[in-house]
Amino acid sequence: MKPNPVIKGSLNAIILKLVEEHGRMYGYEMTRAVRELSGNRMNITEAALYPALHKLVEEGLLETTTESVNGRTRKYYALSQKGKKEGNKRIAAIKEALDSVHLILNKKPSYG
Amino acid sequence: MDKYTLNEKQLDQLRMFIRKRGFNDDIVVEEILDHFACKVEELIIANPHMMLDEAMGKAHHSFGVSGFRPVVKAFEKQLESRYRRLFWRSVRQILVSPKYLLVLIPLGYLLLKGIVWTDANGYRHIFGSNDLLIISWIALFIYEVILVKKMADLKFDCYKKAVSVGEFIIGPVMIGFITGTSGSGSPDRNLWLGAAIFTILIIAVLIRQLSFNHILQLAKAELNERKHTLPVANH
Repeated sequence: MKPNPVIKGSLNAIILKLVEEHGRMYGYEMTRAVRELSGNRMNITEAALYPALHKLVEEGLLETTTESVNGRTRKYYALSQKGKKEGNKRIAAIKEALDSVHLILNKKPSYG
Repeated sequence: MDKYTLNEKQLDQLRMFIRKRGFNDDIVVEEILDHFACKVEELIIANPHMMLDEAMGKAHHSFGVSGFRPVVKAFEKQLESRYRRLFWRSVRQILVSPKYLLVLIPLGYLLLKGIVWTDANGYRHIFGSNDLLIISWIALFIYEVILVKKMADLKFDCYKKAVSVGEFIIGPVMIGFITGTSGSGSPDRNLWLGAAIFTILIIAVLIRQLSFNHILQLAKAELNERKHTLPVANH
C-alpha cells in the first residue's frame, strides 16, 4: 500500500476530524483508523503523521496527555479549545476543496 | 488471535532493538516504543506463529527507509521549538517586568558611565588592555561551564538540546568584548560606541541567563512529571 499524496495534503484535517470524533487518540490508532475507514485504500506513514501531529500541538490545536498502558508510555492527542473552533474551519475548507476537485473531474467538457 | 499484548520482557527486547538503531535517550525510546509495539502486536495477531525478532524486523521495515528517524526528528523539533518559544516569552516578560527593569536599567547605566569615567580619568589602559580581554574570556568560559553543569541535571540529550536555546548570544558577546575593550589605541569618538556595545551585551547575557534558568526549571519540572512513565532504571 503506497502513501497517497492526496492524504498528505489533507492530513491535518484528517487528524482533526478523527480526534474530534474519538475524543482522544494515540498515533498508531490514527493510522489504523485511516486504513479501516478507507477500506485499506489509504495509509498514513509515521514519517508524515508525527511531524503533522507535533505541528498541530505547536499551533495549539491539539493537546497531549501521557499514560502508562501495558508497560509502555502512550501519548494521547485531544482537541484543545482552539482546536475545537479552528478544526471545524479546516475540515470545512478541505471538504470544499475536494468537492471542487470532484466537480472539475466529473464535469463533461462543454467549452470551445 | 483477537488480542495480543507484549509482556514486560518482550517490551525490553523492543527497547533494545530501538537502542541498537542509535536512539539511546530513554525519553526518545519511550516516544517510539508504543507505536512500534502496536505494530509488532498487530503482526503477531495476524500470524501467531511469527517470532518476535521477525515481527520487530517487519514492523521496523514498515516505518519506511528512514526507520524511526522521522518520528524522533519530529519529537525533537517540537521539543526545541516549544522551549525556544518559552525562552523568548521569558525574555519578553523580563523586558516588561518592573522588578527586573529596576535592576537592569541602573546596572546598564552604571556600567556605561563606569567605562566612560575610566577613560576620562586616564584609566583607559585598564579597559583597553589585553588583560581585561583575557579575564573576560575566562569569565565567559566559566559561565559556559556552569551552564553545561546545570544542564547535566536534565539527563536526557533531547532536553539538553532543547533548553540550550540562547547560546547564540555568546558569539556576539565575544565580538562585543573585543570591540568594546580592545580600543586602547582607538579614537575618542569610538569610546561611547564601544562602551554601549559592551553594556548592551552584558545586559543581554544577564537576560539570557535569567531566561535560561527559567526554562531549565520548566524542563526539570516536566521531566519530574514524566518520571513515572519511564523505565525504573531512570527514576
